[in-house]
Amino acid sequence: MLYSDVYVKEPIDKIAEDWDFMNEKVLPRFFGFRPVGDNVYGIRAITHETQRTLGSEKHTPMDMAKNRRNFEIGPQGVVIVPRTPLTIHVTRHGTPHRTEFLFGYWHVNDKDEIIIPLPATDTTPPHLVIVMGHPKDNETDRIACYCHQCGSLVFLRELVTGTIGFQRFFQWEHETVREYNSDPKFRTCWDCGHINPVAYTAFPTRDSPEERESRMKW
Amino acid sequence: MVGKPQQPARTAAIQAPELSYTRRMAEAPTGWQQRGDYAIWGGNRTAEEAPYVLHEWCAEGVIPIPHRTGRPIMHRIAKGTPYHVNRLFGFWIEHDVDAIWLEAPAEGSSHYTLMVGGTTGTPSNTASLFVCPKCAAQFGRESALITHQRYSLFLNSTLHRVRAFNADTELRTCPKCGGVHPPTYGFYANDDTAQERSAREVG
Repeated sequence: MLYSDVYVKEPIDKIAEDWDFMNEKVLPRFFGFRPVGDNVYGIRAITHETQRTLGSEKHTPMDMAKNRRNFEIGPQGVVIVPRTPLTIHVTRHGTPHRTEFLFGYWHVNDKDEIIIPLPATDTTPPHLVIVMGHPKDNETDRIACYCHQCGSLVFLRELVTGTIGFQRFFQWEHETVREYNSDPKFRTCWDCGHINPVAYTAFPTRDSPEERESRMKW
Repeated sequence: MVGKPQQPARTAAIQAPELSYTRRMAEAPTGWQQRGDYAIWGGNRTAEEAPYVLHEWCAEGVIPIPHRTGRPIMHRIAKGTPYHVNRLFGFWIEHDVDAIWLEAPAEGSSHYTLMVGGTTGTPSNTASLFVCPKCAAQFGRESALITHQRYSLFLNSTLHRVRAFNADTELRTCPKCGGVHPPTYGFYANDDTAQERSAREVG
């Protein structure tokens, strides 16, 4: 190759041990979301056949179920977004989105998200790669709950992650989900009166019994 | 005299904002797409074709990022790092925002995605340059402010750069060691001259 005479002789692992985020030694850092440079990264293994085994010990905390569905809300209402392997999907900022069995609320953020499902190889399970911009200044992440019956917004909380830092997200997520679940008034639709099911966080191991029950259903 | 109130000009239908975008990596070539805060390129190479290889520049020389390992590879190109993908574009690019290189094996092919961005308004200041294959010195740097001009304009402009570079030995002469950079190629293989095609095949 053209530049082979000027290749750095040192192995790349010695120059930057985290040069490959998919490397088995590096990948565990991205089980949640990890800000690196201008982006926040998440990498999930898809190792569960169904949601029934989510949270079990032999899997990593945020492994995903193969039977999950992904949703976005647009002008036509809720739409299912297929997760076809080797497909680049960009969820634009401001679009409410949710993954069934993984997190039981709608995430609405000010940054675009790129989602790429990768197929299994001989040595690795299928994965889902998520890349989203690192929020800055007054950019936010929001947790929203919409009425399952009529689609009205029943609950909304906002974290200014651009100022406070994205690393605070999951602690805030846990607190916010617990707040929503703490009182049926939050879950009762102001418009149609429907009482919505409890929400759940992205960590199945933290589920209360009623959150677990909810995770199995929606 | 009071006339009839003026009617407001008929307004064009307001286009609904794009909520999401989907593209198959297996489609070839996908070319570049500007979606929100990202410029995204996708492509693939069969096992019979020579692979694309990402190269990064550093003070000690050029680092070839490992490829075709049999499993996915995701590599972050930090902003301010010149990079080059051989057989894809024959010059070097440096952004003011991070980029991400993803290679995934599937169905006997290597599938690639290059994502540039993450910060609102970027990539904005993007440079194209050349690197001497004899001493790794950078030369011929040109910066372009592309904030409001879309990324494709930058890419289109690089073909003119490459052609001027190929036509002038002086432009291809390294100011540090005097080595002459061989002719190179632009981003779009379909636009290649015979000389550019030969350079692309060498890689």
